Amino acid sequence: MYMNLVAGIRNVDRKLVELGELYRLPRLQQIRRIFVPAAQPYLFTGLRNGLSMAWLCVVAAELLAATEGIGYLLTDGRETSRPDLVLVAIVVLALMGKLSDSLLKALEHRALRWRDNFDGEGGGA
Amino acid sequence: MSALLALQRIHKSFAGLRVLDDVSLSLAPGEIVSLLGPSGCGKSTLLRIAAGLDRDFQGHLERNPLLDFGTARGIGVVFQEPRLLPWLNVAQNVAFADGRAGDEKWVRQLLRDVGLEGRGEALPKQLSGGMAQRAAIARGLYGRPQLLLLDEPFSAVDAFTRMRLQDLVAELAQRYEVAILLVTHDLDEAFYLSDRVLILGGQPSRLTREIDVPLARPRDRRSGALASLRGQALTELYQSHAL
Repeated sequence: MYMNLVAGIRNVDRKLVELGELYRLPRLQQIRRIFVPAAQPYLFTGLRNGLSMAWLCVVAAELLAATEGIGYLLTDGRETSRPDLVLVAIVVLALMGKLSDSLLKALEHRALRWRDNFDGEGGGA
Repeated sequence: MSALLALQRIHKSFAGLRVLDDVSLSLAPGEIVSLLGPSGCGKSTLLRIAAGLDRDFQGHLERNPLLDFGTARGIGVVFQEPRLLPWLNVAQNVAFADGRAGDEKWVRQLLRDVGLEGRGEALPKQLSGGMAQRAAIARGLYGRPQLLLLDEPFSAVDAFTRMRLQDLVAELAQRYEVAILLVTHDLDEAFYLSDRVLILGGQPSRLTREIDVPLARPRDRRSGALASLRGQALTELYQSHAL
């Protein structure tokens, strides 16, 4: 997330930063009103990456050390030869991961409505 | 000082290369002055110095204390690109100087003036080049400036839009009594709009000629007087080998 944010800040158009200079904006305002909104797209990329990483870490931690939770269900099912448990655990994890990512994606989409970029869809707005 | 702005004996170098050499100019209230010259002659640099965006120069820059520069309220700037903040809608962009405490009524008035009535909610990505530049002009005027600095403001739009925008600027300058320093490489534009045309040329750049344009407004683009004054400028440009 940090690296994405830094990339976001570095990528802010110098011309917009000059606007801040022109209006004699104090440093804090410059950050709040120009750098932060401009870096938002990068922030969201970082967030989504971070989210998937977070899921991985949670599961890995539970696999290793938990006595309850999905990761535990997975290990337990494996050790007691209950493949149905294992399957359920995997499916639930996948669903939760997908759901939270979709939620974040929807949030991103709303927050970044102003972006004038290639959307990955052919033609139209 | 009675002048709004005075640049005295400005010298400017970029990486050891002298760009501006002993350039002086001054602007009276309500006056429209053009800086005319080929690309790279330093006229944009001069404007940026006047706007306070470039402090690395030798010479003297004097601004009339009437220009309340601290809040950028004395001076408005319009660049070649509209430079609208893409995450703000048009109205928010115009009122950018005030942020959330923007004067909505004044914004609406300005949008009407520049021909963007009802477009306050639009996002910059939805605007054409001409419309975006109109929004930029409205933003420049938002602070009720006494001086408007225009840096090749119409070079990125088509010829028809350009003529309309020129008329718009002339009209607004008169209505709001704003002095204008216009940087342009377009001879027609310079003579159509200005009271005085300053020709910049040579290497490093100097003010080689100043041409008065004592024609009444509104002006006719077809007029012979304009053509003849334009001819004088062309002569000067040929002589200084800019053409």
